[in-house]
Amino acid sequence: MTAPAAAAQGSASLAIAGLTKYYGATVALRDVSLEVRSGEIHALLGENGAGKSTLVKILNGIVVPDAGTILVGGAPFRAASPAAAQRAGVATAFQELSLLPNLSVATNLMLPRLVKGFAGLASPAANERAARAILREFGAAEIDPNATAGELSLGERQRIEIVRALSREPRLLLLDEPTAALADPAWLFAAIRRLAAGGTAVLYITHRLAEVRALCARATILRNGANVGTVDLASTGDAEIFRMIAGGSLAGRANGALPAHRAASAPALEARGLSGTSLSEIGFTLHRGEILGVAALEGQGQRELFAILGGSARAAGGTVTANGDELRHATPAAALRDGIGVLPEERKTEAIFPGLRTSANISLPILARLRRFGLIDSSRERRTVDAEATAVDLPPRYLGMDVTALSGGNQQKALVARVLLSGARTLVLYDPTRGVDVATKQVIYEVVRRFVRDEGSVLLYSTELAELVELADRCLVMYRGRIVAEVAGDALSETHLIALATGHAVNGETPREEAPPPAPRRAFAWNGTAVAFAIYLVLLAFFAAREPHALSAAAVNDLFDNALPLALAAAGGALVVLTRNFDLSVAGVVALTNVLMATALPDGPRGALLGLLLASAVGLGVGAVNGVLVAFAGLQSVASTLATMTICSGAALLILDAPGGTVPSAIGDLITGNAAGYVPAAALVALAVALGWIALRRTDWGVGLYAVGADEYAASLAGIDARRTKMLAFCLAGVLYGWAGYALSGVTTTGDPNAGNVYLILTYAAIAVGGVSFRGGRGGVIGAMIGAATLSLLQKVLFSAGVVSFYTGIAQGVAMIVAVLIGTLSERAPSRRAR
Amino acid sequence: MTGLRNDDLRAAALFALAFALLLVSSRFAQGARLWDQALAILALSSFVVIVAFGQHFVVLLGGLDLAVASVMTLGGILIFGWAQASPSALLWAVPAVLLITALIGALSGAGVSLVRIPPFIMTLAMGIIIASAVLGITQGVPHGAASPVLSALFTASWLGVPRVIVLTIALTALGTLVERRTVLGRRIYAIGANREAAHLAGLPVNTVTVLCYAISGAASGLAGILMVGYASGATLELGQSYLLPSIAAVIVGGTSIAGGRGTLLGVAGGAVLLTTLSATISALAIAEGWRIVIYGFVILAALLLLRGELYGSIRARITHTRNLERNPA
Repeated sequence: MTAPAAAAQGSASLAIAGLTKYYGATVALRDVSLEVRSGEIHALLGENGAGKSTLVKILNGIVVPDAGTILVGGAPFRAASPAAAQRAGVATAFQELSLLPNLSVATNLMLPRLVKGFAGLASPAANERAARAILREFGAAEIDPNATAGELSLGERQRIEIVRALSREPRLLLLDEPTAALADPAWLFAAIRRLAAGGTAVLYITHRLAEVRALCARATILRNGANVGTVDLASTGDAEIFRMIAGGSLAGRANGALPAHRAASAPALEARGLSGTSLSEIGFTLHRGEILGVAALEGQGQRELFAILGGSARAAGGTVTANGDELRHATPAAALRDGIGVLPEERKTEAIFPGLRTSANISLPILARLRRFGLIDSSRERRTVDAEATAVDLPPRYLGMDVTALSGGNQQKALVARVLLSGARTLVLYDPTRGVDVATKQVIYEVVRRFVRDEGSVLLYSTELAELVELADRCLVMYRGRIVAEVAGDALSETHLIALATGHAVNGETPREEAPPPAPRRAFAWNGTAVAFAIYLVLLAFFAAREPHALSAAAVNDLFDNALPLALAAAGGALVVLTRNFDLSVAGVVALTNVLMATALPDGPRGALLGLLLASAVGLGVGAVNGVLVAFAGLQSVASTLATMTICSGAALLILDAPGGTVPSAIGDLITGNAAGYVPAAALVALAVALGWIALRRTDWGVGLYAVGADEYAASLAGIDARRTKMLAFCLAGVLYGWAGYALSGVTTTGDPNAGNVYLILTYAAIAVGGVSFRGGRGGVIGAMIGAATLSLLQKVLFSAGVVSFYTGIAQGVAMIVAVLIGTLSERAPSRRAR
Repeated sequence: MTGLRNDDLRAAALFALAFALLLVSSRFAQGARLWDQALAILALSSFVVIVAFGQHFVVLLGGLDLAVASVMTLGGILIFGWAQASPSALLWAVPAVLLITALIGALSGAGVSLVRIPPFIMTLAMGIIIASAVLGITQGVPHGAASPVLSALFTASWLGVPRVIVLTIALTALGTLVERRTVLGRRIYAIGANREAAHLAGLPVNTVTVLCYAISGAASGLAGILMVGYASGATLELGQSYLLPSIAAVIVGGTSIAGGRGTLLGVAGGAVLLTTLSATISALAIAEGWRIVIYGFVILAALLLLRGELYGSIRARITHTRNLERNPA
């Protein structure tokens, strides 16, 4: 089926020996050895949690192994970042997709290095041509390279993800569940075979045995982090492979058939016709005193189903009823009031409260009941928590500790105690034993069994099929968003479940490929910069209508003069905001450069030049400090730039403790245009706009800035050095603040240590009005500059409209909030989807 | 809350440090008794303690309130205009001012929690709006009179301690009780520690957020009221210099800027230490600029010193998020 000749002749292109990785006490990989020959397509099989994803991460430099060696193409592989892994010849199509939603398909395909054209600048035309050629080569010609990745359907995005990896012509190609969202993988198989024929080693990770048989000659099976065997597929039957994946020769379940009384007991929860973005027509009944299992491979819609039942997502259609009442809970709090308790999927991010004691973590949902005279009755709290902790076998000595000091298993016990304490009678448990030790698993099983003995009901999803077999009375199997089977009794076995979950038993009717859900496209493409410009023009028209000379050369020049300092400051601030950070140092740098310009310079043109150098240097220095603090020391940007802003403001006061000093007139002439008619300020604006635009849209760094701002992790998967990108953003921003101070000095011609004070608010107001998103990755320097022009024009308009100047602050603040609101609303839908 | 004891030790250390600084600086001040100097410093600290009180609860939630200075000014201007010299007018004017400032805070909180505007932006905008409104209302010149009752807070004493100090201590005690012994306090820590988990656990995240910003607004308003008593007058710059110290006190006091960690006692310690530092610098007649530069370095130093703690927890959270998010294994 493959090219066995090539496989046999090829040398080992990937050789892994003794690879081991621990996450705390949990073993993710245990002494795994594996070899993929050049030109071979090698399948990697295993249940969820078997260690496949950890292996992929190690090969991408995201995770560093604890032991073992890796050779790629015969050379030792020690990548510490995805960029390094790419340089070593590894390309990966990630299961979770690593596209940047705010960038075009072409850019996504070319990252981290765009095709360069004139003067070493990125050329969009050349990129588009290259991207189009790649798309055509891999049979995806109908995808528009100029489309924004986030607006494509899931299937299209998966194709781009794969095509990107294929087009790198890697030495080692990793494909992690590449067909999960593909309607027709034929093109993919053809492309893989072609690459393999060229000598690429391919590691193909999937749950779908049919694909494995179509593509691969050999397969390696992982179970619980260990390699349980590499098999020759031609001589190994499906049943044997399923057994290796599931482990042992598991016949049936231990706890016998469904007790008769349960089937007859009242329903605790009924779902009818539930649908959502990844669900359709889900219907089931959960009885009192029953454990209903849900078996599914990763990404079959189970996550959304559990989120809907737990109140953290809304169903698109269908009903959920409990005791005859339809539940319409929209929040987890409401679900809890309806008696549904949730054990979230991600312990660290969704469940525990780091920094709080374990007992406080447990008692949280019932605190209101533990009050006496308005205060928490700590002895009653202790008694209640102690009792529950005993019930889940959590030793009391852990209760006083910070919950983060506990092992994963003990944390999970605490979380189980919490949900039991909440008084819920129906538990929705999503993979409750993930990453916990064997002893804890047994405790959780026991607790769950006891809970249903007391007439509670449990809906249980587990990535470990053995667990479902062990616990569940009945088990639903989900595949591609639907319930494809319900098994109980003797049919409830691991081998049967895995066959059903991989879509095998439903093959009789060939698994229905869901039409990819139409990508919810926005009604109009929101372009913050264009909107900002339109607002500016409206304002200008209004102004011109009131003031007869508003558009005379002198008046226009005046507009430029007034707007220039703020426009430069806002341009700098926008660079930082694009990375999803804030930079308060703008106020300090503007003040510091302003007093330096007024005190430290000789007169004449030499002063103007020296001033520009000095301002640039001061800005660069402060920016570099900010960059180091934020990008490398990992400090929060607001707090650390607050500190640098303060230091600069203080320094400005030390240099000049009251307004005074004289700015060399040459700077004023340069900025306000007396040197050469009315040209300079306008020319400077044009120059700044052009430079900013080129830096952001025509360099790898600029595009990387958008990538990092939108999704730092995905950007690093694409090979971008996020820290360097952020560092450079802060440095450039600092230089621009320095220039802003320089320009301000030219306009005011005097020094004022408090000159920077208004710049903090004005800069961020300009950025907001200019359509730059504070969530990072959207907007641009030009928008921010237009925002600055708008704000300075607004001041004039308000004045000419007779509004007392005292109130301009209100207008600025309101404009800022309204601009952010509009931006938030306009990007809400796409940003949700982008996750 | 884990190391309640650790946090309390830090608070004690900050107070001790402030006292040590006072001892050093008292050698430069002739004549004044140490006790009187300490009381003077504490009275002076009350403004920062109270503004930082509100800031602390907002930061504990993972937010930030940049509007405190403007709201403090508003509080001062309002009480100055409303209460004037009539002690009975204070009975309605003080609650009215606190209510208004709390509502302003609540509005910021609503913007942050319901509409998801970044706290930095929301409160920055709110700050300029309030400052501008105050400017407009007063036309640049506040009219009114300082209530003698308010002035007496600083001049008269209870049991030998200036009243304002008693008030500040009572407020700190109340806040400490709230954060350690009430349901609200637990919820604030929980939401600050892990907002997503708090939501999934069914906690009223939005309500608590709005409430914390309201507390911050009211605290700033109270500080403004007190300032009128202290200065026996009101200016439009009344609150201006308190934004930075409030944030600095919170950071120095050990409240994690990422939320979920820190205690009010620590913040009070930070506030007293910073005020002592300020006063010492003033006493030494060093240029004003140095005071500000030192403030900046103190913030930076505190951030870097606490970085081990914060950085560790944030990084752990992020890497875990990433690992788990990207790899369900």
